[in-house]
Amino acid sequence: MDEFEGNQDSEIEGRLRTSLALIAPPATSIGVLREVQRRVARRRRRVREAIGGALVVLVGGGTAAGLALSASPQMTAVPPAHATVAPSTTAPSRLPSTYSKGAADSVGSAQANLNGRPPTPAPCPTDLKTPTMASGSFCGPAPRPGNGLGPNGTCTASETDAPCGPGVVPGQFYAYTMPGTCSGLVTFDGKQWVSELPPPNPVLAFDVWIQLSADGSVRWIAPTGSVGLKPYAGRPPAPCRG
Amino acid sequence: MSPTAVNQIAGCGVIQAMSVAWIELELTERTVWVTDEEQLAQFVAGEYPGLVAALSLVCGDRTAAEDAVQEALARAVVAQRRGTIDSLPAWVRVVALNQLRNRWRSRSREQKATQRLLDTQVPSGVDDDVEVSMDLVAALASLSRRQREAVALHYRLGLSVAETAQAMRVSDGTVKTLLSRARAALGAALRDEEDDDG
Repeated sequence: MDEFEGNQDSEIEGRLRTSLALIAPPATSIGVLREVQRRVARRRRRVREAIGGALVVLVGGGTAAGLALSASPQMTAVPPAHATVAPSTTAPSRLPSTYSKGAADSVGSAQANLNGRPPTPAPCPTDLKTPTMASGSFCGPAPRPGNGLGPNGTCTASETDAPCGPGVVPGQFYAYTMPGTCSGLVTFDGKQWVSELPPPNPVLAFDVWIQLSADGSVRWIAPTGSVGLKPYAGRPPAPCRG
Repeated sequence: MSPTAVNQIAGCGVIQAMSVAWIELELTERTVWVTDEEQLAQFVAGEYPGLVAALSLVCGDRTAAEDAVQEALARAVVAQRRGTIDSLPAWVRVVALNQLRNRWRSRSREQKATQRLLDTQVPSGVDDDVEVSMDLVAALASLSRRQREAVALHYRLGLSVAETAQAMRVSDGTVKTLLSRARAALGAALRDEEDDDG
């Protein structure tokens, strides 16, 4: 009986192989190599643009900071601050230029920088009361620590007041201390959010301005850049590299 | 040391790392492609047609299958340069399958894929002794995605149970179970077809 079933099985397998080969005939491989090369080139171009953009932001920021330092040795009164985009010990080590409104500008500036011309950031209006990235770089008052009960003002998820707790007004900027954990998890408006660009390694907490938009999206801005947050869906956070 | 000076030093480290990444990118672009191309050409000529055919059985869409395999190949070229690929065919199978699964994140997309499979046109001019029944296509569409993957990789692509398990990232036992259940469903369709002939 077993032998009969075994024979039946192998007969079915044989018919199955033949039938499947007829239903799904082999694909042609003509032009595939060229298409793959095109895709590789496209991937490489994206990486190059990303590296170039970040380099320009770093070099430009460093130059601007250096010029500011040499021009005025007493740098005490910062606000309203212009973008000092060099990474700091209190900022994520990965620059979030991808999420800033000026990402396209950064790429354009990358080309300018490669030609030997340092990018010149647009001047900030002097009377700004609220922070903005409208010009592609940060302008406005320097971020302040948040009102969270954790270290340096980080949220602990036990706060009852906005911005850690619920009641955040859409469109309004809140001073907020961003924890530098590489999980990217933060508490805001009484809910958990996850950064779209968490730092690859843990960094010290840093101050930002955070805003809930009318469409429900959240992003923070700071002299180091702008990063979006998305609602935390309960997925395990990405492992740290460091 | 002032905070700005600290910032500049930290910035220098990042700039240096990024410059190295840039230079590596430029160098690999010029030197490594030649060696990769040989292996890639072998894969495209030998394994590509069968893999696309098998994956089109899984998703019911030949264009999507081609796109998944080509994208996997493009990623393979990049990954190969980092030395992270032991076996190109095995790596491409896993990545291409993942690509297809990512397309299926929503249930509606999976339902559409199943419908596409049902709409599959069986080629005409088939040998008299092997008549392909639309029942088989319908039976294929009724299988679960994982069963279809196992059937496509094992019976269409000709992978062993172990290779199928590796591509699907499951155990050998799971593949055997999936194949056994799929065979039961598909076997019924094949037998019906035989009865109709008889």
